[in-house]
Amino acid sequence: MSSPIPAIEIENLTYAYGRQAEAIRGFNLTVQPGHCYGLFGRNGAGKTTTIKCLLNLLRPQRGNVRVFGLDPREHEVEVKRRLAYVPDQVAFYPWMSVRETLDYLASFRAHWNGKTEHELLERFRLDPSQRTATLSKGQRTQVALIAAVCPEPDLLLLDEPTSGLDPIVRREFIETVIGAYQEGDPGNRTILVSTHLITEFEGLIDEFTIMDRGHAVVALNADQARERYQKIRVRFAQSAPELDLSTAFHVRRAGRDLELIVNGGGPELIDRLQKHSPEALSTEALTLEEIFVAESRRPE
Amino acid sequence: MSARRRRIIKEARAIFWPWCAVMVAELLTWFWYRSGFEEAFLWPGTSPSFWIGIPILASLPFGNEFQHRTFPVLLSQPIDRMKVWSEKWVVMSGAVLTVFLVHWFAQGYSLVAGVWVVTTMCSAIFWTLVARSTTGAVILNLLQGLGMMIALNLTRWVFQVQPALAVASTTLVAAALAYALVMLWLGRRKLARFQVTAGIDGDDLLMTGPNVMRGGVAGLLRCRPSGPVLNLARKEVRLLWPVWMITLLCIVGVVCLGGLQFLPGVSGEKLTRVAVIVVSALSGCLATVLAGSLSMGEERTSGTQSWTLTLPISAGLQWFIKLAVAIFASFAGLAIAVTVAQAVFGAPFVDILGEAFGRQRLLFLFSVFTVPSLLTFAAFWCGCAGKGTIRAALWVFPALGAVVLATALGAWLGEKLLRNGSVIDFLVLRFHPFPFSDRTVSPILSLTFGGSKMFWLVPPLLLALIQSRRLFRREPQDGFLSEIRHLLPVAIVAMLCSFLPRIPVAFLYRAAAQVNGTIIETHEAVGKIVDVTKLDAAHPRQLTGEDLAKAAPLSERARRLLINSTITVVPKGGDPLWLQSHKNLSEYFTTVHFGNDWDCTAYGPYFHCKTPTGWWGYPTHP
Repeated sequence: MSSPIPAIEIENLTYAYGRQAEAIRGFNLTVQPGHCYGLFGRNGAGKTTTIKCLLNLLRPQRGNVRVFGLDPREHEVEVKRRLAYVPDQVAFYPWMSVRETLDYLASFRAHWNGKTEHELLERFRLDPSQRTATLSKGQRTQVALIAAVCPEPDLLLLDEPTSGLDPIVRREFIETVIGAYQEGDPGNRTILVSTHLITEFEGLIDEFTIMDRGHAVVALNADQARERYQKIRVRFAQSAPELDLSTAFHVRRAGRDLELIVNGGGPELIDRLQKHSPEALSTEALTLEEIFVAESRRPE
Repeated sequence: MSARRRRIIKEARAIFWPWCAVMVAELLTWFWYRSGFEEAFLWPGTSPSFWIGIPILASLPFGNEFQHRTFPVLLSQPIDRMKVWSEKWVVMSGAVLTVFLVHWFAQGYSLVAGVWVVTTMCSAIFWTLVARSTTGAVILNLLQGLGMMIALNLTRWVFQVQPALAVASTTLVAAALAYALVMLWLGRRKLARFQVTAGIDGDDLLMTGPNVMRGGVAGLLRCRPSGPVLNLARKEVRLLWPVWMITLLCIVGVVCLGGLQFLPGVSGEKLTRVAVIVVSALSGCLATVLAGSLSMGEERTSGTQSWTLTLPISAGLQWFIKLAVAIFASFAGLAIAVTVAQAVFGAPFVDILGEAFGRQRLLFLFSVFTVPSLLTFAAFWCGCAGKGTIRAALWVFPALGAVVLATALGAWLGEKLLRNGSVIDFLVLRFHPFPFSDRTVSPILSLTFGGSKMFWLVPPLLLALIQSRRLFRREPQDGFLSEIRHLLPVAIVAMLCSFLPRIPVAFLYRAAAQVNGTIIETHEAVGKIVDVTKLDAAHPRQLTGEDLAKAAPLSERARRLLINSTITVVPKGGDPLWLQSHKNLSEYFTTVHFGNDWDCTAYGPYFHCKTPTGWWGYPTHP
């Protein structure tokens, strides 16, 4: 059976702004249809630049970008018909009302789910007659999210979608809106989300890539990651013995306590630790945010 | 470096490049005046550089804070707001006054200009804080200026006799200064009480303004859930609302001026000239530049452009709609203003406008509407190449100036080639020593210098069009160097388009010059070796080029051209009618039968050639 065409396929992507250092260099990414993919990274890691290349807002200087097997440069409109984008900084025409903005955006789409629009307007408590100039930052994001979800596209590109949203709306948005969006056509609706609020998306993300300075540091399946990245806490009767801990990439000693973070090789290390008869030994899987923090702090 | 000095340097840097642009335009005006062209409003660089440049410079210090959304950061700093005001005002005053000084030197002292500068300096901050944008502030300042101009002219016409006129003028100037002081105080007060109430876009009067539209017009321009192309056009029309406001302002100004005609002793001709200036400056210049720069500038500043680009409609179509609506807006605005002015002032308005754009009706119509459309396109190009309305508007005239200079450079090089082109001479002698006949020359000349010379505008225009489409979808880079980089190819193409047509002309000219020189040289050489008194018309003297070369010293050029030629010499007499009107004919006529079947006859300083395809030479053939 032939494998489905990836929703997103990026090969060796490189982009530099002017004469500055490359914002992205040799970046690779594959997102399968129906997956929720997380793009994590510190500020300036190249997440937004990557998304802009997918949207053909920026043209890659090297490498290939494919969305549903199509090159956004050559098939710009076809690609954009199948996706919707929520930018990190949402801007609307200030003279338009929320209603007019949504009508304006709906006019570009072949399909628009009016029922979903109505429900979301109510859920977010947005007044359709309110002018967008008077909306708060969070409310603008809400309008942008409605505009992205209502056409029911095959791919949602979310760039920091929850920034500015209050915790209640944020949770509701992630759990209900995004969840409902994917459940609408499971296996086909794909999400690429770039965010700092990793914990909020923890339950949704199937795969993720951690970016740093324009390239991928780690790219893993979320479940695999939780298996591989483990935090091991050990307490010894006396001060912690000198051990070969080269397989752990984070070690913290505090008197009798030893805290280790490992990326694979956890069972072998635990066996070695057991030989020193610790008073207590516990392991726990890292959350995606902890993995992100650990990888970001990891020395090069 | 002290904190205050650092802040002042920051303010100065913020308006440095706009100041440079206005200053360059003013200096160009100076040179223009020195060249003897005194009809200021006829040249786009003259009035706008001062009358629009001053409000821009005055509005920028606070306008920049709105544009870059730094106002909340600025006002949250532990510094007295009045200190912020005074630092910005000092820097702005310095910039404005230096431009005024240059204007003064260039065009002489003008009370109106002085009052304009003082009131603008004093009121710009207030208007910027009201409009919450530079562009809005510039428009409000211009409104204020138009009101002042009408009041001043009205006073002059009402009180025509001294000393009443002097008293009235002094009173008016005093009133204007008092008004300026009040505006200065209002500006300080406005800043002291200023509240940053808006979201991301600010309460920009320019962008939120369309809310004043009510009823049918607002309904007509309201976006619908279907029809994306129409929605894009509607959005553009609304985005360009300042252009419509300026058109309205222009119409109000023209109607007010028209009303003054009915006052006793008022010079109708003067009023018509003022109306031409108002229409040219507001609709012909300001509105056309804004039409091009606003649609891109405001969208780039607010961030809506890159967001719109993510919608499933081709970027090319978006670009086309934007450009088409901008050109339509500038065209329609100007057409409305000109029509109203013509209705108010009648034929004299068109006559005075015709002085600027040519008296031929077709040329007049073409110029009146094509020049503003080109200006709009230039502004649109600048909007695509840069970021922000004001930046684009400020770039229009330097960019156009650069292209005009490049064209002039191409023409100058072409002229050089025409006059003393040794390379061309060599090529002519080597490949085609004989000029073409009139039948061939005429179309070449008409194509290069004749009515179709507008054709040579097409390549740079086409390149600029392609560039603007490409730049439309690109994220603009900061720094003016990127704009210069984009402008360079257009300037080079403009230069080539001015230079290249001169090459065939230079070729024709040099070829003609060589043949002309050879004929005259041959004629003179014949005179030296032939005894003209013994010439007989019935038995013409026959020579070959080689015979002549042996008997008389000839130039290398003549020797080469005379290969395989025969020369016939006859005495003067039986001159054809067309030659009888010419004086200084020699006592003998020399006909050279060139190797290429040309028969050229020299009659002294005159000659003409009969070629297999027509005639060539002077005097004109019969």
